[in-house]
Amino acid sequence: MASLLEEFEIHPISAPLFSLGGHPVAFTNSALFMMLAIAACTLLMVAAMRPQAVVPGRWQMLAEKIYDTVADMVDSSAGEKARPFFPFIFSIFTFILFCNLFGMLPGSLAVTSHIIVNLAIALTLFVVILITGFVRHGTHFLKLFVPSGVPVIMILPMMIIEFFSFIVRPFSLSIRLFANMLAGHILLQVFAGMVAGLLTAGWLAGLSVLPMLANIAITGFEFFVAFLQAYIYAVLASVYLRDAIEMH
Amino acid sequence: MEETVDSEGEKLKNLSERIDQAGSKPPVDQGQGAGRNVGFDFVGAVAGGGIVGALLDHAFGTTPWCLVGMIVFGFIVGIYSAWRSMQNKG
Repeated sequence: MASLLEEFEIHPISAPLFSLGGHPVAFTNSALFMMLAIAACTLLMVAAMRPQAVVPGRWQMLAEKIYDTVADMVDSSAGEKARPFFPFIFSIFTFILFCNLFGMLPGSLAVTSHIIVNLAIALTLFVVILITGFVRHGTHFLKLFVPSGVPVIMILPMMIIEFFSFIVRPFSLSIRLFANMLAGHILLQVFAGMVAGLLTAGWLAGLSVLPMLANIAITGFEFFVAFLQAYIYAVLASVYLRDAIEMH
Repeated sequence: MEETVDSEGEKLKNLSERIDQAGSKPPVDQGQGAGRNVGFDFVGAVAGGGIVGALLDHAFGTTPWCLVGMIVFGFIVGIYSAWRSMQNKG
């Protein structure tokens, strides 16, 4: 009987390629699916826009729709001044979206169900936000931690709390995506295990249709969650970026 | 005839205003998404406190007090940030 966590294991596919700090680095299934996600997204956007027709065909309409959705979201959540960051937010959104969707294939690894992947994206975003804030505002950037309308005696505790809640943002961003993906896949596995268990239980075999139907519904829901969580990640990334650019 | 054309024109103008109003809030902030997102802010604060506490313990060797203290601090900050999120949306 396979363990519940076996579908999240990282297996090396190739021999160790090089050594990083004493640890051998091989090409793993996690790296494979990340590269597949990037390749699929690049292929979609480049090949779909190749005709460059004024009246778009179906693929071009899809690519333009993705672009417009993310562009509108960046404009409304991060403000007009955040336009230079649009490629960054777009890359985050499509990478997470395609990783989530590839994770729904049977036998694949959901890359975003590993917290280190989400944390890497969130910490990169965090570094970008810090650099942007300090380059744009100088030390005035630290005024972000002083909320307005606070009595003087409360300023130091409020600064500490605001600073900590700023530090904690990449963690909450990555944990949200990680928990949604992990819980979704474990749920699918549990219901599928119920189907298999009921089928081998003799006279209860007829009941195995019920968890199967539930699994069909949950699979549909997981596709929805894949889109939604990618969108939420991108929206929150834009909101945090707005804090760095516009300081309010 | 002119009245129906005018009222349709007004309806179209109201429609675009209504779309603008409806589109300004991202859909995840309304309805079911709101509570779940706020919950993750809280959990993230506690987990972040745990991670920072563990790192401080590793640096200063004061196990487990830094970890415990930072988890409690993360709890407080999580409640504060969840409360502020709900103030902004509610």
